[in-house]
Amino acid sequence: MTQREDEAHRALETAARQSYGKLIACLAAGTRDIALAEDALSEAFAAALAAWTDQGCPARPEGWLLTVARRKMIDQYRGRRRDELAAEQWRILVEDAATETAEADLPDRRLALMFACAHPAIEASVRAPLMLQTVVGLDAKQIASGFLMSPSAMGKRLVRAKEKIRRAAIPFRIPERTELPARLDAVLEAIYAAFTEGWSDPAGTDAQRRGLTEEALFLARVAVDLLPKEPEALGLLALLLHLEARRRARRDGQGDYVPFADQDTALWDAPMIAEAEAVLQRAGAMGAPGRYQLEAALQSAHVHRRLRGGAPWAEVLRLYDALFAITGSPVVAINRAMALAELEGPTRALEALSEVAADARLVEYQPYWAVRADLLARAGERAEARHAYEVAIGLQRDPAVRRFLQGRLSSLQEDS
Amino acid sequence: MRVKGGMGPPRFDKEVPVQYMLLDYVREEGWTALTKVEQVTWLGAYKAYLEAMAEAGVLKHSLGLHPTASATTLRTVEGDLQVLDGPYADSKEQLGGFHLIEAPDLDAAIAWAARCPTVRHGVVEVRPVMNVDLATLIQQIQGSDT
Repeated sequence: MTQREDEAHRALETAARQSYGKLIACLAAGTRDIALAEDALSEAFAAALAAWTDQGCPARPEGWLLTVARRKMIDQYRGRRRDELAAEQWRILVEDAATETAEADLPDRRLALMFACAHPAIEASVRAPLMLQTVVGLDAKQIASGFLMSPSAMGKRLVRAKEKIRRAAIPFRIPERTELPARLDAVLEAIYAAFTEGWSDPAGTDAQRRGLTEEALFLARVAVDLLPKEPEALGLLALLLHLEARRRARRDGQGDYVPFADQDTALWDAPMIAEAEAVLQRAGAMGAPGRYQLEAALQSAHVHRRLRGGAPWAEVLRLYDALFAITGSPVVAINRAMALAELEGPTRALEALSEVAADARLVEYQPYWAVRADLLARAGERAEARHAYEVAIGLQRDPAVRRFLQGRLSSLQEDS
Repeated sequence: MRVKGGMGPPRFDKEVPVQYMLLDYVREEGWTALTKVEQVTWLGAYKAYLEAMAEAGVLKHSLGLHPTASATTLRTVEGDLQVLDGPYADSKEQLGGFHLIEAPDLDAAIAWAARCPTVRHGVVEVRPVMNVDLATLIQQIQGSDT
């Protein structure tokens, strides 16, 4: 590779990383045709490699890419979209949406694109994949592997969602004040879903799934940059930073699962935790608590407990109570039971747990059985604990966690 | 480029309006079960709705359908034409009418659909309508093949 080629490569990589979502948002804002914007942009990237190697890198790579992609997008009309719009309409929509090229900076419409991806008329489970593709620039194959799905099935779902945006004319727009909270919630939920898909990472080694948590963090940062006054966007970023900061400590050298209480805190990413705390403080100062801020506050309390000792269990319990009041989620109730066990003992916690056990969803919810098993073992109910461990092991898909639970089960059998 | 005000990034004003079909699905037996007074109230609500859409300039067309008891369904079964009494779908709600509207985007269409009295007792489906008429579309597809 010549030096020039090398420079072109690097400039392109930087542009792909920093500008992909901005370019797609600009190209597709007028026609809402994300699929053609993606095709046009990938052609522009291909053209850039040759042109930049030949003539050197342009002063403003974003503007160069936008100009070329816009031309390609207008060309594509002839072959693919002329049954839908008049040629002149198409040209105006493409050019208008991408008119600012001549000016200094590309306008950042990524947030509007995110709101389109998480529109209520788009099926909830495809919103996170759609954002990862259009805002981050991952391809269907990468996303499919993150979501444990076949690439062709994921590809089809993405194509269908993009067609819906175009045909039904879902707007690229930031919702009005009155509808913003509900619509923002859908955006944050999709970002969180992208993160948790990467987080569950069964093997603990899959680079693509690990990548997904980083991309979700990137999306959360974009949301915060563009909506700096929304406390829940900040809350989500703080939560994701807290979780990501402990990634390396979740597995030991053999790839075995390490529960939070036993994690080597030296493996935690201290600067990331500090950032999480700062972001959470910024959110808290706005005086409008919400689900993500509370979840981040819980992470913060747990981290403090490990780092500084002391056990603010009463504080933790209060946070779970507040979170349960907002979400009514049985998952929150399960975690709350663990905190209650620390404060009032396993028997009280089991009583609290039995109150939520009526929820049919819990029969197949692995953490319910794992928590129940742990509490039963601590309460000395060995036979019942063994049964709960067996169910928990049977439901667990992550082999490392399964090994951990099997270890617990066999130690229970040795003791008796 | 002209943009509308408001918060956040600009919204495009130069939009090609999209036509949407708002399809009203209703329980037919519900209407006859109503008292005369209730029927008058509902009719008033529909009249007001149609007037509001006409006033805003979004309404292109609006039609009600006779009850499904008057429907006839045709299909081909093993090469033979079959003509049957009754509607196509044997569902609780039946297509009872439609409104063809023109709106800048789906949010605007949803806002109009949400005002339809049918939403309070039935279901409204919002379907984007193709930008060209079928005959033109067929011509274009035939043209692109040759």
